[in-house]
Amino acid sequence: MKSAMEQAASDLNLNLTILGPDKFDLQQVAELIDQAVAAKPDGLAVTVTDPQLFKDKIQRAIDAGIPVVGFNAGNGPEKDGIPYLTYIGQDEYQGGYQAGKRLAAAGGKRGVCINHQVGGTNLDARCKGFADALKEAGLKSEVLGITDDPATSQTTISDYFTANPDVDIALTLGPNGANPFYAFLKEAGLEGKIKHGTFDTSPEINAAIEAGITLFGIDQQPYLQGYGSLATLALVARYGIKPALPVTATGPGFITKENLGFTPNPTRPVKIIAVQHALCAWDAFWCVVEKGINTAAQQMKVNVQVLGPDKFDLQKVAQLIDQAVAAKPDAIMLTYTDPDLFKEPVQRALDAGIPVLAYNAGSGPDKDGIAYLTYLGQDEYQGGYQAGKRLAAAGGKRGVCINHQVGGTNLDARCKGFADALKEAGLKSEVLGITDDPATSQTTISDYFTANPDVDIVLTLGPNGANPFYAYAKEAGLKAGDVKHGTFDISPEIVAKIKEGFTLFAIDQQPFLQGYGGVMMLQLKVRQGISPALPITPTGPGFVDASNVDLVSALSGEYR
Amino acid sequence: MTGQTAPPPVATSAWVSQLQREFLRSPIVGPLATLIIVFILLSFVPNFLTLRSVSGIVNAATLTGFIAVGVTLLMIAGEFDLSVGSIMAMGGYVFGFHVVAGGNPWTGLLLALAVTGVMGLINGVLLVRTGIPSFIVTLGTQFMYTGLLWLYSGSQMLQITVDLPEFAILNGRIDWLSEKFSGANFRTASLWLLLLVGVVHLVLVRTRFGNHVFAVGGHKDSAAAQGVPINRVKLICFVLSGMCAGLAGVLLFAQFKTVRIATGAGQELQAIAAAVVGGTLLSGGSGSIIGALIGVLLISTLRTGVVLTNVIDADNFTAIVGVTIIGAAILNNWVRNRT
Amino acid sequence: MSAAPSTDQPIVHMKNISRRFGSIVALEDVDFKVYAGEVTGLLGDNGAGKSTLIKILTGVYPPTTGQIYFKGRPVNITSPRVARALGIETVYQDLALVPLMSVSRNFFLGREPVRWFGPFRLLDLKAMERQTIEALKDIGIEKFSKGRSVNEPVGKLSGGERQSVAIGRAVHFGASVLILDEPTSALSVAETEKVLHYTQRAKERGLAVIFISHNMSHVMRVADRYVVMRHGRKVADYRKGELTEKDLADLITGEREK
Repeated sequence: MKSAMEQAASDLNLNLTILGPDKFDLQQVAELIDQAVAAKPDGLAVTVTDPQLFKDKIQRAIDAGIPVVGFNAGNGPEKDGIPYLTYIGQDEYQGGYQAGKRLAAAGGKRGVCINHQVGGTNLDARCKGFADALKEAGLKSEVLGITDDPATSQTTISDYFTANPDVDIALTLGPNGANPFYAFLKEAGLEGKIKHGTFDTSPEINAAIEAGITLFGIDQQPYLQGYGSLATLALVARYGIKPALPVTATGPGFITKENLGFTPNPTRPVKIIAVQHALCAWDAFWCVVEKGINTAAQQMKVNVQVLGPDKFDLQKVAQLIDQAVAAKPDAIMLTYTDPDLFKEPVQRALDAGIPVLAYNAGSGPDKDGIAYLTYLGQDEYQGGYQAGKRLAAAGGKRGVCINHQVGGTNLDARCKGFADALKEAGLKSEVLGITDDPATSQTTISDYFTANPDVDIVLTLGPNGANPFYAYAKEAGLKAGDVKHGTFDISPEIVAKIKEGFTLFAIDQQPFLQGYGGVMMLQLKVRQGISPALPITPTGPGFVDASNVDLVSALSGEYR
Repeated sequence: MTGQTAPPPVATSAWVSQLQREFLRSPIVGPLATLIIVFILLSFVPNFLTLRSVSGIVNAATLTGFIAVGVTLLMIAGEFDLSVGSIMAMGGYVFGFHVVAGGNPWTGLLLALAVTGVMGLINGVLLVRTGIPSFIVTLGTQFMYTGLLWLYSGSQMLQITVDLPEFAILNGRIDWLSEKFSGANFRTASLWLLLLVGVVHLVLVRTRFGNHVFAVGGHKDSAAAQGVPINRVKLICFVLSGMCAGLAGVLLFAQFKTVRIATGAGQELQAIAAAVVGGTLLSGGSGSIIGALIGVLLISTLRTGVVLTNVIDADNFTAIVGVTIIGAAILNNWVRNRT
Repeated sequence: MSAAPSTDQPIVHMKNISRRFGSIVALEDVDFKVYAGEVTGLLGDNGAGKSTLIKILTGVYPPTTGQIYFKGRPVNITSPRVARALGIETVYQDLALVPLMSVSRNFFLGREPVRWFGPFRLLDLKAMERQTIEALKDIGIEKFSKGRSVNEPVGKLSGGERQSVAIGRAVHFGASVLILDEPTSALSVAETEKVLHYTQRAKERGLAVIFISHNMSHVMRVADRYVVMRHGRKVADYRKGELTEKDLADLITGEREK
């Protein structure tokens, strides 16, 4: 992991100091945090091994204006009760869930999650994710509890399969579960008959993967934890770009027969072709994306070529994808704008063994039905959900989601996330539909507040909603704090309102991160064999609030 | 010319019945009646009869009102303009860019009117030269103009955060009124709309040009046979319609200080709906600018009514508008056939 | 065998008029005269050339060859507006009036009287009403001076009334030549009577009337002269009384040559 951090520091031109205890001693780690804060760094990455012990220390760093990320150990800012930016590490539930999806897709009928530590939060979360994935696929599953003793465990597993001969999907949660499971398979002569996946790797597991007995091992990709932590901190310090979610998953990373013997080569030359449906040359939004691509390419010493049509023409983009495949690059990143049109060319790239990543436009490999690595872009539901959490925490009583495009899938998902977050906080909320016409919308908003004077939490879904809301607020004489307001996207007006303190935050999809992250992930894939953990890697919600609004607006048009 | 004769003496009762007949023949009877009925029904809704709600209704109707004036004029002349939405956005952009570049807002206004007038003229020339129905012509130019907007705007929303004193004149809140009466958020743009409606109404019913507009829309060939320059009349109407939309765009920018490519989207149908609700015939030759004003107010009133009742999801109010349009059209027909 | 002129000089003389549309010959060397104070019936089957002749006279098409003389002087009628300026008015059956507009607005359409109201030049609505009532009364249409409002839309009038208003309008605005295109088709008997009556009134006021019709009995009732067209040629030009209805019918169908 140290090498990952050093590699990142060298790629990103960072001055890195790694502090750690000379033996396992959390008290000493806590003191090291204080020591780090005193050095006034531009960013701090901490293993949040003991939230209780570290809480005050980390809080001091945050109070001193130092961006903090947790990595490897931690549960995210919410569960840990410390407002650091994000936890970068394994997402246990997602690990079980993605494993379940893979196993279900492999074609089984009924599943079992073999849990060697029932009651342990992390392992239970894996089984829960597994069960949910199978349920979504229409399959039944159960949890089988075993112990640390392999002999008893083997018997338990054997008895279970005797009683349930139709179970043909099994997930084990580490070498401790895999070991008695393999012993059972061998004895029962069932090797290769049961779709098996496991967490973690061991020589035994690797051999089973090699032999085709086990489909995959899941690893938390520690390299990505180190590299990702530094990259995240650099983006925050330099461009005000914050991680989208409280938990940034580095795992599940799947180890399969294909990538089992991968030898990392951090200095390998990498050529990436980016194909996008628009270009900076004729759409300013894309200047920010391309800036991200070029910045990452330069820092990480990757050769990136950006291709795009000279006007909005998806047919042409599809041709450009084929053109990119023909050039045999190490990886392709593309906007998956039109699933119907792009599916075949992308499949040709995958068939040629070229890793593909979607950015800005796409729905993830699952929904798009094609096995690209991940979709890197805004997660609309999460945007609404995180916004709702922040607004509810700010202390309102009742919420409204002002939707300027009711029926639009993306915007509806934002409102849904908002409503769910408020509901979790015990608050009521509604959706108010407005139109593209600000004059009409202003009156509708005014009328809504006349009829519902107790509403004091407002989410608008972009400048088109924020603009008439501000017009209403001005007319109604609302002051900062009268209404807790958050919005999606940034406009000059929204920036001004954040500075005034009227609007608590704006959320954007961080287009810079879409370009930057795409290059970073693909070079890690090519050089380190690391795949993105999740089918959707959110670049947003990126929160712009009083803390970073000046930086964001100063960099507006270039990095935001 | 025959010799002068004194006007025949008319008894008061005859005069009153004459007035009644004239009034009943007016195309605004139906819409006015509908508006009054709707107002009476909605007055039972809490908070409806407040200055805040009423000024909200007026404000929401005002910009669409400008567009409806031009569109109604055109409809009376027997033509449609589906491109007014994109023309409105263009008006906003021309004005906005001029102001952003430090230009005088008044020259910006004139510039916007000139550009949007030319856009209207292009609609008219295409119609007159090709003979393709204006519905098709302006459907085409709507796309053309939207494409033009993409180019002109660089696909970017234009927004500023400074307030200029000229904005307050163009479309600012009438502060002394709202200070005197709480919630009376009336804006200057509504006054300009009233002025425009008055002028265009006068032009329509009391000038040669107005007479020709009705004739061209009512029976183009008859009008031509009487020497009415039908093409010129249509061109002028298209230019005026473009300028009305452009003015709406300028006034929008003056209040919201923002304009986007999507600005004005759907306004063309709102305006046509307002015109029809206001007693203007889709087939041309008959209609009223005042009726169109009542039309936009009616639609706006319903919207506010629905939101205030809190019964129906606010985004479903469009269904109510649909019902009203059909209802008003039926009522208008009924009134028309009875007189 | 052509009829002698009723007065010395024709008000309109279309001399040796031919008109071709590509290779199709629509009119061939037609000589057509119209006299003031006289109703000229223009007869012929569909496609005989009646309407082409009239369209040339009203400036819709130019003739291919030939010359039009108006009051003895050669004129080039290049557009309908020129025709109107000369006092040649046409009353088409469908194109006469705008149904949705009031009687008085129709009456003055294209010739609206205006007055200055301060800086504005506005329609003189009072004058329009008054003059409409008087002009229609003049030609014998009494209903508007007997309480029926001239502000009513023309669409509320009967077909005959509409024709009558259009005739009254032409007379009022000093037309010297009045062309009536199928004025009686699709009218009831009573309505037809009115139109024939107002046609007579127009003639009595000294107008030259061209009465185009299929219906021979209507033509025979009002016309002083009959001109018959067939296959683009003038085949007959007779004075009233020189022919029977049967003769006329035979001329139109070609049963009888001139």
